[in-house]
Amino acid sequence: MSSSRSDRSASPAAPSIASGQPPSAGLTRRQALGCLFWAGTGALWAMHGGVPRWLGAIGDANAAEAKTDAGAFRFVQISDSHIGFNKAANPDPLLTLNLALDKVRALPERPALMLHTGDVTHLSKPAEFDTAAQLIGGLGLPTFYVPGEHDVIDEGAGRAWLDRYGKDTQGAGWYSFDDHGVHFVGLVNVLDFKPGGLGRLGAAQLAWLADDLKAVGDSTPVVVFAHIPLWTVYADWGWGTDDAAQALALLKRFGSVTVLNGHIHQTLQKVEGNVSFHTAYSTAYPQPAPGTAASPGPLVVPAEQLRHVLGVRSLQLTRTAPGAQLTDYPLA
Amino acid sequence: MSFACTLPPRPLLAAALPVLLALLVLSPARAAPAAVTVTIHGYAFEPRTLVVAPGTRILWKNADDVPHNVVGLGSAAALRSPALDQDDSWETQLDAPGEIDYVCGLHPHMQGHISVRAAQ
Repeated sequence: MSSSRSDRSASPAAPSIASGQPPSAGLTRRQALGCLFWAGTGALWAMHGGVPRWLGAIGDANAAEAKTDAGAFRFVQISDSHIGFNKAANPDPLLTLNLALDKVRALPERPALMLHTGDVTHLSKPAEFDTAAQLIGGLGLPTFYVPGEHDVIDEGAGRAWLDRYGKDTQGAGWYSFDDHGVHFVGLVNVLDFKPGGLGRLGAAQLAWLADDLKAVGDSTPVVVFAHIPLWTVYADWGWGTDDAAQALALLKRFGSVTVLNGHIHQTLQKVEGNVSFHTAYSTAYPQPAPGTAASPGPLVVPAEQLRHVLGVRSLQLTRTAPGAQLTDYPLA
Repeated sequence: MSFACTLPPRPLLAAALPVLLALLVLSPARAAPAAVTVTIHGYAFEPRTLVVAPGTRILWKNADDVPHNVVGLGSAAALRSPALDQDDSWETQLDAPGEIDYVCGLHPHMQGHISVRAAQ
């Protein structure tokens, strides 16, 4: 690994998920079972072999069972806080970010860490970064960030982000770390756009990724997080990453890969072989479903419905179910 | 090469001054090219394509309720606006002839093109 922003060894009380099996070219049945995971939008799904099976709404017995696996490694994802936004779709994103953080505080088990998948701020202003850091820091969780395009529109085109979050990162802010036997990779795909509009990782970052993954065993669960989806959700709105296929080719040999993104302010899932893709709720405002509006601008919903379309995500990894289990919690 | 400036005799200058001032005020050919406005609306630059003379001032005005910016591509990388929130505008002057491709740095599916050409 060429970069490790926060190497955190597995503690004796939290057993490592990785089994340490030697690398192999194809997927075994055990590895295929590692693709089992849960996902949903206020609901729980099991994905097995790419076929979704609904298990119940959050709060059902099945859901409760999924959330109470003792000894699991738990972490959370929040996204698209857009601190500084002040339009009709949500005049008070500070309030809804606080509600999201309260959701995290209220989880049955305290997560070990939090991922923020970008657009922390709306306009990359220092005061917006400061406010977000103050609120999120109040949670007391180790938090790992990747930038959204709204976080790199300062005059230095991302200099403000690196000054704040770039310690121990590479290039424009990409990095990896290990926790509880899980290999986390934070990628940056919001810079150096080309006409046509998709996000882009770039050759330097892809080379770094190839090198970073060399030391990681096939059976190690891998969690990749980046702002713009690494699968093309809707190209006309730029909801995809131009060179994602090259990154996914590097991840193909792993038995369990979970890709977490933000950017589109809604939860969508996709399974492709051993890789599961998940976009996340925003904590600030919703956006239209792909292609259902003239533009992807903020979606104004009735005030009483806003908290139903914003939320946070909880994830857990266990020895018994090697894939990541995901639960999305709307704010209301 | 050097430039020399010689003034006419003082009485002649006094007589000609009103005429010179009138020419300065009334001659549109001597004024800088007028500003051209590009409106940003519905996640698009309008007009998307411009042909302007060297020295033209271009003003981008954001009518969307989300921020946009202007980022030149390739050899036009020096063209870069700050983030423009709703109703913000930004203006720059394009002096050098050439072809400029630009996008919104936040939503790069938004594309624009400017041809800076001397009048034929």
